[in-house]
Amino acid sequence: MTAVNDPQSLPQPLPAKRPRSFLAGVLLDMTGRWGARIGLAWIGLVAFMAIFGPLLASSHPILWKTADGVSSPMLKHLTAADVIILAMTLVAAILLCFKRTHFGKRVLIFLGIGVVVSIMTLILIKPPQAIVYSQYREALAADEAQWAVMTIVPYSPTDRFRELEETRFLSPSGKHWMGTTGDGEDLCSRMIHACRIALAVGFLSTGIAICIGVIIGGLMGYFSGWVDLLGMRLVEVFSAIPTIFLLITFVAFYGRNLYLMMIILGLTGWVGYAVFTRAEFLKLREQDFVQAAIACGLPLRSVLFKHMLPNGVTPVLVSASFGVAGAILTESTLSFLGLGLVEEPSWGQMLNQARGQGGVFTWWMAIYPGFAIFFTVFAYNLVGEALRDAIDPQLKKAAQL
Amino acid sequence: MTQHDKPQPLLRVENLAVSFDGPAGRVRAVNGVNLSIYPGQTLGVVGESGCGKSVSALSTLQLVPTPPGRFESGSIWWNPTPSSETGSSSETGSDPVSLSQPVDLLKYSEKQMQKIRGNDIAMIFQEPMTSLNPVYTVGEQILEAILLHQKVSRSEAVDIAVQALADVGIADAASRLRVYPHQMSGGMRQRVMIAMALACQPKLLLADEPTTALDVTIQAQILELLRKLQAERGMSIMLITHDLGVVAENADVVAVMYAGRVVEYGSVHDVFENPLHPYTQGLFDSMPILGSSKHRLRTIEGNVPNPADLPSGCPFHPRCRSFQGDEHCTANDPPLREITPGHWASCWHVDGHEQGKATRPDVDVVTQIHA
Amino acid sequence: MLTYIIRRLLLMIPTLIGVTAVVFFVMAFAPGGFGGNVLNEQGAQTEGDEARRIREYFERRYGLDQPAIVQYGRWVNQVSPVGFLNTSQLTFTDEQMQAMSDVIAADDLLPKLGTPRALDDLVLNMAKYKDIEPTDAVSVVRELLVDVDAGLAWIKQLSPNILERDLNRVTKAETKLNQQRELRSLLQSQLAGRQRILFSRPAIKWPDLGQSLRGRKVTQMLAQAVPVTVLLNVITIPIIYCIAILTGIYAARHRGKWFDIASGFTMIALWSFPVILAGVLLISYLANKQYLWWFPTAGLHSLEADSMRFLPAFTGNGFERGYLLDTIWHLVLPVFCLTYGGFAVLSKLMRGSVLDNIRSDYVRTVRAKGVSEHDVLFRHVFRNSLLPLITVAASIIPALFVGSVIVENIFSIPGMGKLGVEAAFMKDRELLMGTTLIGGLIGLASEIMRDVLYAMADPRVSYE
Ligand SMILES: Nc1ncnc2c1ncn2[C@@H]1O[C@H](COP(=O)(O)OP(=O)(O)OP(=O)(O)O)[C@@H](O)[C@H]1O
Ligand SMILES: [Mg+2]
Repeated sequence: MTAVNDPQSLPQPLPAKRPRSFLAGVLLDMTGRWGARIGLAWIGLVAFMAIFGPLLASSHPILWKTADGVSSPMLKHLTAADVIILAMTLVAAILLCFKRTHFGKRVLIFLGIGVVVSIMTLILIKPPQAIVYSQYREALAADEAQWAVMTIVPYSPTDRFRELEETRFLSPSGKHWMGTTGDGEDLCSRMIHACRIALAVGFLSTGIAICIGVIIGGLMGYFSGWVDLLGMRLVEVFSAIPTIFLLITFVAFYGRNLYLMMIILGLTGWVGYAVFTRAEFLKLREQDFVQAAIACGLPLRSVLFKHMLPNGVTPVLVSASFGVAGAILTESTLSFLGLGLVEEPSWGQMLNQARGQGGVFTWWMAIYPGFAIFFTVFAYNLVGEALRDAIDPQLKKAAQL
Repeated sequence: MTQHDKPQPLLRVENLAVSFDGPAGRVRAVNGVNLSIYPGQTLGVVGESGCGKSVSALSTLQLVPTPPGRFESGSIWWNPTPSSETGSSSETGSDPVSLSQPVDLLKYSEKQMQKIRGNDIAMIFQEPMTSLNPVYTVGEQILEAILLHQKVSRSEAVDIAVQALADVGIADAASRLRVYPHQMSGGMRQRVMIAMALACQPKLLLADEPTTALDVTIQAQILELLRKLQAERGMSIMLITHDLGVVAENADVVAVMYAGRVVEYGSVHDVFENPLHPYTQGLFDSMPILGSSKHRLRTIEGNVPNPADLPSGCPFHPRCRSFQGDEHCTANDPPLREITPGHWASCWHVDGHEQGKATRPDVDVVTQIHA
Repeated sequence: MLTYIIRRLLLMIPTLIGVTAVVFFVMAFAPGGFGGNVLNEQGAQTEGDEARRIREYFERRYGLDQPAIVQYGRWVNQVSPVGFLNTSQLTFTDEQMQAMSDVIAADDLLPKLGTPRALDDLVLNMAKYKDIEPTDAVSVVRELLVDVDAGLAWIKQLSPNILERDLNRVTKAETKLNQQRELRSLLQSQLAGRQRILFSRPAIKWPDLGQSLRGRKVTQMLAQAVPVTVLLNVITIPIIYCIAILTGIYAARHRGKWFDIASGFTMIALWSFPVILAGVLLISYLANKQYLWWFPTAGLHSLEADSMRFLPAFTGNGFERGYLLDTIWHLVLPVFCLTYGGFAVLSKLMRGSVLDNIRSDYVRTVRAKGVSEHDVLFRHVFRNSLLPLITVAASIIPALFVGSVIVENIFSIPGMGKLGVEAAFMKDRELLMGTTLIGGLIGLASEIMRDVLYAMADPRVSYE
């Protein structure tokens, strides 16, 4: 059909498209899958409650009018952690709007502001130590306060209604949407506040595990030789330890503290990432671009972090997603076994209290927290699964090029 | 159509078209292939990688994975009884389904195909290293084929298997039966594959690059072996290869394939003496000739076209030497025409446009085995 | 193969040492030390000196006054089948004991200083500590008691940290006899529970996991608990594998159809479903007076199980379920909890593996032989597809272990998991070390078993 001598009729090279990075391609493909969408939606919901928990469920009125005038007890009672989280969310939201600034730069700005805000809040914010929740109810009942605007769930997670008659184990009702616990705390409020722990434990412990694993695995894979030998013995030992016993030992002996729990989960979970990264690095080391980088005399740091790490870690994302799910499960299991946090609300701990003394079963204490754990773990696994499916064809495509 | 004085082909492939659904859309891997193989004949099939040789052979046994594969059109006529014998039986008319009546293998059900596979038509594959099941012994795998198609006891089957291994030149065959594939070299495995294929005395052997993965001395041995076995049993072979030397030595008839179709067809003598299609000529030019240092090797310029996106008209025209920008070549796909008796080619440049009828290629020479 | 297994078994030793060392030092470096709960409990009932004495007793018994590395060395020596005898492992025959008692009774001084039992005890401890004949120990003890100053000097040498107050009790006593009495009691308390490795006595012995804070031998406690956990897992693993293989093959054959998609989704859901929730829901709805009481609430057997016949039978008083059925009845819910999540991963693996194999070259060869689809799948693809499932078998077992810990605690099954959690609560060092050791042993053994199984299933792998 075309003119004979027209060079157009010869097969043309494909039009040059701006190459998308491997990671971006994977993420884009992943978010296109409906499993991942459901998962991300749920995680988003949990994250929302984790961030805005104190504004959603609190016994402190948002605003109220007393003899001293209008004030906001809720704001006054925000802890340093609450303030940091809220402020950083705001910063992140603003930074996301500056689309044109380089992504890395925005991350740096975010971290910088984060440090400043944290230091300032830790110095400036000193919420009152002694909290008397009943004061609000009593003030309102005694007409000392004219009006009060409450949060959606007007109870704090540790508000035990000490001044009220029997409030333990109330089944769900209009007043307490998810019922109350054995100590008379509002379950709904506790559920909301537990979101933060679930998310934090999941992310931070997996983050710690990945950091340790990638560093050890990367070193083993890069140096091989005796470093590898030593590392492999370590990996062998850590994978032979019955992790659950190590965990309960750790928790039992070192006390029940949220941050400790994350570190412990991280310390016991790095083995898989190390083995994975090692294998990946061993493969990469043989490849030409790394050999070329070494031959060019680039410093070790640059070879490792600029050239090898970005290529080696994309598949780690998949295990990270499953890892977060696993960490949440483990935390709730430990809490369930009674080895978890004491004061802070946690889903596993609430589930544990569902079976009270004498085998009395309070269904709302099992169903709500239990399914919250389930949906969150399910969401992460769906995302992980979608990531894996997305990486597979991506890897194949990359291999063909 | 059938003439009683002329032998009937054992297998006749007519207008076979197979396509694959892939991420880049539908790919026509085979696009109107015509072939025929006579009893005792060796048909050499040559062509560049990806031109559809393997798919054509696999189609014969309905082994193309579907999906993603799809038979678009065509038929594969299978006629296991030579016409000289069946001629009389069809005249008596006692048999309602005449044995001489060819059957279309593409219409066969899976069950019917299972009776044909390994029994009437056997195939050996181009990857000897991965084509045997790693968890069973060689013996078990050969026995499976024998027990499936022949009514023999197990011990008789073992005898047949030992004989088959001995036939392909494996020493100490009886003990080799108990060996696993990974314990054998590539050449040995290919021999086992051949033994397995020949154990049931097939009438047609589809040999898909049986020697590509092997080193040169083993190659020669394996081909020698095939020649010998063919002479003994009078079976037909479809020999797929890249190597024109192999074709020259082993084949009676050659089919040259390009982009999913046959572009030249004729007896070895005709094609090698007088290649008609520019692609065939290009193939010969790119082959070194022993003892001649006259000319430098020439390559065919350009690349194999992307099967998902074939050039219009003659698919070879962007690489063709004879192409002078004629409208005819870019607009119309040339049919396979009989240029001289028994020699077909599909090129508008051969003998002008009008000469030669577009017919199905059909050469019944069987020479090599007697040579 | 045999040499390979032996080599692997020997290689287990350093790994096990590493495993136990990690757990041991985690405990050793913990603030507050080990056994805090028990010591506090005991201390709460008694006051002052008495509480201190109990604490000192525990310190001596577990060697807590020594550096962590020495404590760990002692533990390893105790566990190792080849090592040195410990003073606590010395035993004496009845004749020796009788001879000792006779010598004590015949003595002119000793019977005045305490009851015969107390004296027997003291002399026995001395005999063990010095690794001498009990009759010889009598004279050693006698010498120390006769000369109070020498006795005190010896005690000071024995426990350098001893408090002045305790020594003063002896020196402040009025008469010499009373001084000697006090000295005897002090000597007795200082020797009690004291252990020493007898480097002069190398021996091949049964591994000894020491004594739990609850007073029982850890070996005994584990001997009761481990079979229970193993039973749970031995029942669970085949069930998991059967379901996983069946669903995996089915999903692979019907790839892209509704079963494949639905099963893929369900599998992830089941895998995500927390065992703690499943356990709580099952026990609360199916084994609860409030709702349905179909299954027993706790344990592995009914109380009267020991008096039951083994098999179910109809007798004069109607149906008797028998020991076997009783156990099965108790196991239904726990095994269900352990099973449902396990096959998800395996099923997905099986599906992928079958799909990989179906597309492989050798299957094409098999088809070209004319083998039917059914045989292609079950004779050829099946066996090859199982190989990856064998590979993950070793990682399934630790996962099941975690499951058992939860399930045993929910259903009050007296297995290793329950024991381990109780030990952690009590900070019971020896018991925790015991469970860790056995857990590690089971994990490593299952790895060896996996490798052997793999070599049997895949002829390409051999360990010659
Ligand atoms: N299972 C399949 N799925 C998708 N496409 C396929 C499949 N098998 C073959 N094809 C396509 O069919 C075309 C012809 O393949 P075929 O294997 O017949 O080539 P060939 O001539 O045998 O090449 P070679 O000499 O390399 O063996 C190729 O372009 C290939 O992409
Ligand atoms: Mg091929």
